Parts: sequence; structure tokens; C-alpha cells
Amino acid sequence: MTSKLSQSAAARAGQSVSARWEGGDIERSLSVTHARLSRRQQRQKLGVGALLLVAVSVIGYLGVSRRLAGSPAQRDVIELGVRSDSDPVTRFADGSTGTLITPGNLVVRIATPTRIETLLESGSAEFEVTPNPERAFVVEAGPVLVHVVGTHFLVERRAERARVSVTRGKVRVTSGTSQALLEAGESRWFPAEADEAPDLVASTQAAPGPASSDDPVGDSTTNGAGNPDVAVVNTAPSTSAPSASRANAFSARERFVELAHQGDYPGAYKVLSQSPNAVGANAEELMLAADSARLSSHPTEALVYLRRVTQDFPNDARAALSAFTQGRILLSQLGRPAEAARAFQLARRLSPSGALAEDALARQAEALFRAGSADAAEQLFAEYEQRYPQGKHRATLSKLATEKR
Amino acid sequence: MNPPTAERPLLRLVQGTLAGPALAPDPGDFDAVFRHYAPYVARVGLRLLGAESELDDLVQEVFMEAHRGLGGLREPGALRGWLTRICVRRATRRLRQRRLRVFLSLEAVSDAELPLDASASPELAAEVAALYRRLSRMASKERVVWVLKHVEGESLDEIAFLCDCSKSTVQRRLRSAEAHFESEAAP
Repeated sequence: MTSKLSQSAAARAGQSVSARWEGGDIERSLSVTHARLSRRQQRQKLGVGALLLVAVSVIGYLGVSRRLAGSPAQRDVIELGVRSDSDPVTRFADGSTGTLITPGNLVVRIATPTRIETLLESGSAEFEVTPNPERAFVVEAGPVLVHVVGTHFLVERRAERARVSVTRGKVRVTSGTSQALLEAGESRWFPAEADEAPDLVASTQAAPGPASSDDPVGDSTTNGAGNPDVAVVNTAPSTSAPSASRANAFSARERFVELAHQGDYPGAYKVLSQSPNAVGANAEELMLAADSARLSSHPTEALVYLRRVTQDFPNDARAALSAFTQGRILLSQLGRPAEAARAFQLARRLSPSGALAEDALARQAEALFRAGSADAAEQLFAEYEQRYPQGKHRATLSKLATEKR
Repeated sequence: MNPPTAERPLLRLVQGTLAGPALAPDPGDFDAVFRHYAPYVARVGLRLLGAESELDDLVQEVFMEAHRGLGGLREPGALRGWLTRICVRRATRRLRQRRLRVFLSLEAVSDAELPLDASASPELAAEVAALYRRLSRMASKERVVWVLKHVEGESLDEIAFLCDCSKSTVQRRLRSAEAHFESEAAP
């Protein structure tokens, strides 16, 4: 194609290529834009908060350093032993507390609006954690990492073992490839001794990845925002990797969220593929994970996250959008029109009169046409014409109907 | 060069808006601005990207960037050109990223998926798809300039404004794009 020919083709393209953006498309995109703007504003607020906290932490650290100047070996430790003169209670800005109930050391490693990380070096400490799905609360005690969403529990450190006792809510404990659920009133040592091993629940297996749609951690009854009184406790094997690597695993969630918010979807997806549990079990993060997969050319993996939204959070405002996006991926990218039709049907059921209703109905009809279900497609086309006599998809559906007849 | 013809449904991107200043929404009303201009931004974005799959995200990005500066915009008449400029910049970035992904074999080169008017013949659809396949092998900045000139029918001055570069740079990119077409046609 020479330059002149290309120019004439371009002129014809100028006449005929047109984005059919009307009504539902605009409203749907506007609502998504608002959601993205809202997330950006939250991040900016968190950033300012984090800066303030860092400044306060630096000032506090300098003050502690001066107090500990006489004992250089303990400069990095905030000692909170009950026998010390200082207050045994560590209070965090969000109202959470950690209280040493026997002599020991509790070190605050990180305290930001999005992450609080403490190290129980020795002794026993009781934690009262304010529920906040936006903030990770991590307690390290030897081989045990406790990831808290919001609950009340106690961690007792003994050399390379730790006991977790739950006083309120539930705690999920992962040890190697097994998991155990501790409920209020229960207490157990981790890692379990050989004769205690049968106590661990063997029904759940290795940590699930993004391809596991029946992700036990993703169960809405575990650590999701919908059930704030649940904590996740991960224990490394007794011959575990260094504690730094375990801490890295817990920071994967923050890395994934940050990268996705920055628009670095390939980077965010890479984090997800390396740390499948980085996605929190809430609709917000699942949609973010789906975006990361979809926009980094992993449509099949995006479907897994989107299905978790519709399965686990059907009442969430994003459920219909999730179903609709599933349909688009199945129809346009994966060439599975029959499944796409079911996804669009689900989108309609989840939001019968929402901004997506017209598009979902048209797309369902289109998917059925492409799947060879002409009769069902014709019925939906008729329904579309009746509901939306001036609908923007009429021409496309009419053309499809003519082709398939 | 193929000058804009009377029958081409060209929209002047910078000046002389179709809606006219009287119908332009208040820049302070983000939702109204979005509803008014989103179809237009989508149309320009679609022609630049040559694919519908990234269109949603592009439109959202354009308005997210615009959201920051809308309050400070004094002339509603300048809104359209300003949005188009953002759209061109964002689309150029996406095209560059797409070329990089294809170069690194992270993404297959896909056929153009442009929605055409219902009246478009299969021959026209094939011709437009072939054009965009050739454009996909062109450098992003040259491609954008060429599309603005020949698909959108913009003047060199307007393209220079939209691409934030000089008129001579626009001409150089156009020559380079045309050389690309000629080299592809050469035996």
C-alpha cells in the first residue's frame, strides 16, 4: 500500500470508523472514572498521612535513641517490659494496642497508615487490633507471622515456637501445607510438635494461587473486609526461611496495590504471580487484581479474580461490572461466546436496571448469535428492541441476526 | 497529501467546536464535562489507537488527568482542544507501550478491531483493517501525526499544538510516515 493509497484509505476510515459511545457506555465509564479518582484521592491522603507519621516516627526515634544512648546494643528496640519504667502498652494511631503481659521485648518496625509491623522478640503480648481492611497489621514472633485484620488475640514467644490464643474472632493458621482455624477461646502452639500434628486441619492444602477459584483464604468467612473479626496467622516450617523473606511475603500486597494504582499493571501482575495470596479477599482488591491481569495481557487469569467478585461479593456495587467484564473478555478475547452469554446474563441479574443493563442485554444477544443459539438470541434481540427502541446496538444486532438466519 | 473534503465528517479538534461555546458545559461540573466530551474523546482515541479494547481505559485516563486542571480552566471553549491534547499524549504513550510489548513478544499483534458504521461494506472494513495493520508497524509519534493529518484531517498547526511540538517536527514525522508506507510497498 503506497502513501497515496494509504491516504485515501485514511479518508474512508475517517468517514466510517466511529466509536459507538453513548448512554450506557458513558455512564459506566463515568462511574469507573469516579471510582478511580476516589482511589487516587485516598492514596494522596494516605501519602500525606504517611509523611506525617514518618516525621513523627523520626522525631520519636531520635528521642528514644537519646534515652537508649547508654545501652548501644538496644538502640533499635523499644523495650516495653512490664518491669520497666516505661508504659507497657504500645498505642498506635488507629487505636490498636499491643501490651506486654510478661517481661520481654516488643519492637515496632513500621507504623504507617497502611502498615503496622511489630516484632515480639521475647515474652508475651496481647494485641487489640482496630478493624481496618486498608491497613496491614503484622506481628512476627519467631517462626510465626500473624496477619491481622481486626480481632483480639495473644501471642506467646518461646524460642522457635509461638502460641496463638484467640479471645475474640477467628484466626486462620497456615503451617506448611496445612491450615487450622482457631476460634475464640482456642489456643495452640506453632509449629506443632510431631504428636500434635493431627490437630492441624488437613482438609486444606497449599496456599492457593490466582488460578484457584475456591481459594480458602479468599473465602468470605476468612479475612475479608466483610468479616473483620478474622485474622490470618501464617507459620513457616520449623526449618523456615529467614524472617526477612517472610516479611517480604507480607509486603507483596502493598507492592501489588501500589503498582496497580500507579498503572504499572505488568509489574502488579508479576507480584501477584509470585505471591498469589497478595490479593485481599475484598471486591476492591479483586477488581484491582483483575485489572492488573487483564491489562497485562492475561485475560484468563483476570477471569479468576472477576469470578471471585461475583461469587463472594454478589451484593457489592462492582459485581455487575465484574460480570460484564467477564463477558467482554470471554467474547472478545477468548472466543468463548456461550460462556460470555452466561456472564452477560449474570450482569443483568445483578443490576437489572443499572447503567450496564442495555449493554449487557445487547452483548448477551450478540454472544448467543455467535454461539449459534439463534433462537435464544432472536428472543433477546426482540426484548432489546422492545426496551430500547432507539438503542445504539440495534444496527449491530440486526446485522448479526441477518447473517445468522 | 489528501486535503479534507467537504463530505468528510471532520471535527475541528482545536477550534470551532461542533457544539459551540454556548452549549459547552461548565468546566467546574466534571460529570457534565465527561458526558459532553467522552464520546468525542473516545472517537479520537479509537482512531489513534486503532483498537477498541483499550478505549475505556484511555478515556478514563484522559478525564482523570483533566480532573486536576478543570477548576483552573477559564475558557470553556478551550476545553475541547485541551482534552484532545491529553488524549493524543495518552494514546501516544499507549501505542509506544504496545509496540514495546509486541517487540518483547509479550503480546501478539492483533488484527484491527475497529467498529465501522453499519453501512460500511466488507471491502471498506478490509481496507481500513489493512491500513491499521500497516500503522501498527510504524513508530508511535509518526503514526499519531499521520492519523491526525489523514484520518482526522487536522492542519499542520493544529497537529503541532496537539502533539506539543513544532510545525517542522510535524512535517518531518509526516515525511517519515510516508516513507514507511512507500518502503512497505516496495518489492
